[in-house]
Amino acid sequence: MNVIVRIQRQFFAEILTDLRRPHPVAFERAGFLFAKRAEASPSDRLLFPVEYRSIEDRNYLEDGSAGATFNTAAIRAAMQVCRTTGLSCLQVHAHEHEGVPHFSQIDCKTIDELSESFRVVAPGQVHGGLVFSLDHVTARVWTPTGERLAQGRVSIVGFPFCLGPVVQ
Amino acid sequence: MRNERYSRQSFLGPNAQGVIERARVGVVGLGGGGSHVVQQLAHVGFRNLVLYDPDLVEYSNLNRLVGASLRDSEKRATKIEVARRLVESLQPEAMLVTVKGRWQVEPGPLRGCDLVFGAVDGLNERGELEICARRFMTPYIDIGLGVKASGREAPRLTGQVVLSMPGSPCFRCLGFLREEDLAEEAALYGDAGPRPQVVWANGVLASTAVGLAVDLLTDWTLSRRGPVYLSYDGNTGVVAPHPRLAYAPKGACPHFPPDDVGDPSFISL
Repeated sequence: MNVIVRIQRQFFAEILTDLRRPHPVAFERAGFLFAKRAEASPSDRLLFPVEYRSIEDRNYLEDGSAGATFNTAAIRAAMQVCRTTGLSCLQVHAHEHEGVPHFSQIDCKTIDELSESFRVVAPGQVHGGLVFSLDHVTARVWTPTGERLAQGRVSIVGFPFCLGPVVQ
Repeated sequence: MRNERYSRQSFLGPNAQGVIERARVGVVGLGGGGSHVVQQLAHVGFRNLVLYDPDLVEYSNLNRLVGASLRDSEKRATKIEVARRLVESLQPEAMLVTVKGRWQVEPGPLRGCDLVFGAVDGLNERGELEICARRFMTPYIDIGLGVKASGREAPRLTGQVVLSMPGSPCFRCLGFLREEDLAEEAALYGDAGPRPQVVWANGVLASTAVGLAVDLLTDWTLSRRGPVYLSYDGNTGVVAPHPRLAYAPKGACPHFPPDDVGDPSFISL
């Protein structure tokens, strides 16, 4: 399955600004994006992020082993949105550089575990994560059944139009 | 080989050709304007195209239909066949999705496009295509040409290139689609008569539109353009920003809210 995520440039900029805010204990910030869907073909699914929820300051934990560690309250809040709306959920964070960003091992582990939780409350949807750089976005997304990773690609829609790489 | 083929456009940037090859581009309408667009896309290196047109080649198309031959009109080839032949002669490995029909009948492939060109007849058709493009968050570049004759004055050859970019002013915001014009068009339904079209003017509009698309995807001008609404005066040969641009709203488009995207669905109340 191919998953194409399209995010408006203005929305991308707003989220990036939020993610770059300093935090008293965490090295970086994270948030959750909720996305509507459409099908282009049986094997091509489109995701359109429409809502962003920043993780509240109090839900970060002091943990030197990762850039940001958040508690279960943050995850439960995101799961509640998924359950209420049935939207796809994508965990997001940012890396401070230009060009195509890549997920670290710990990023992948976190996203995979979160996706499993989101699938419980919003089955049949694509869930996963996005990592932003200052000008690109990369996706790690699971098929709706959760059996395997989908081919993910993120486009930033605006002028200029950023056509992201295909990643699995 | 690839580097040599595109060496004359290397100024577009080191990653530009890769982006051009990966981009999936739709072209709706393969007549006078659309056939020009398709030809240029193939030359520039676009290889992933979705093409729509329901029509056959007619003898009266030959004054402007790029790629079509006398033989195509005699055997009533489809415009899709002409476009496919044109693209494959330049890009043998192109991935083409072709639909001999209206886009509304099979919209799936259009949804997957990163960018759509519209070279369609009529304002209503443009409005419908914009609604689809906005819903699936696809930039849509419209081109169109017309000739108005009145009294003893010289005919006026005019056209436009307009970009509908999600998150930016739409065709209605820009004053390109207006209720009074749509109503006038609806009143003339079935009585459109022959639509004047000429190859040189279509070429100007198609070239302008393809140039806009290449800039959009490669950012080679670093212009970070705002709304694009260009008008073409075919009598003087001038392409210029349309005067209505000055009145475009600065904020969000009220006609297409940002969350009005994706497959329509029922909402629990």
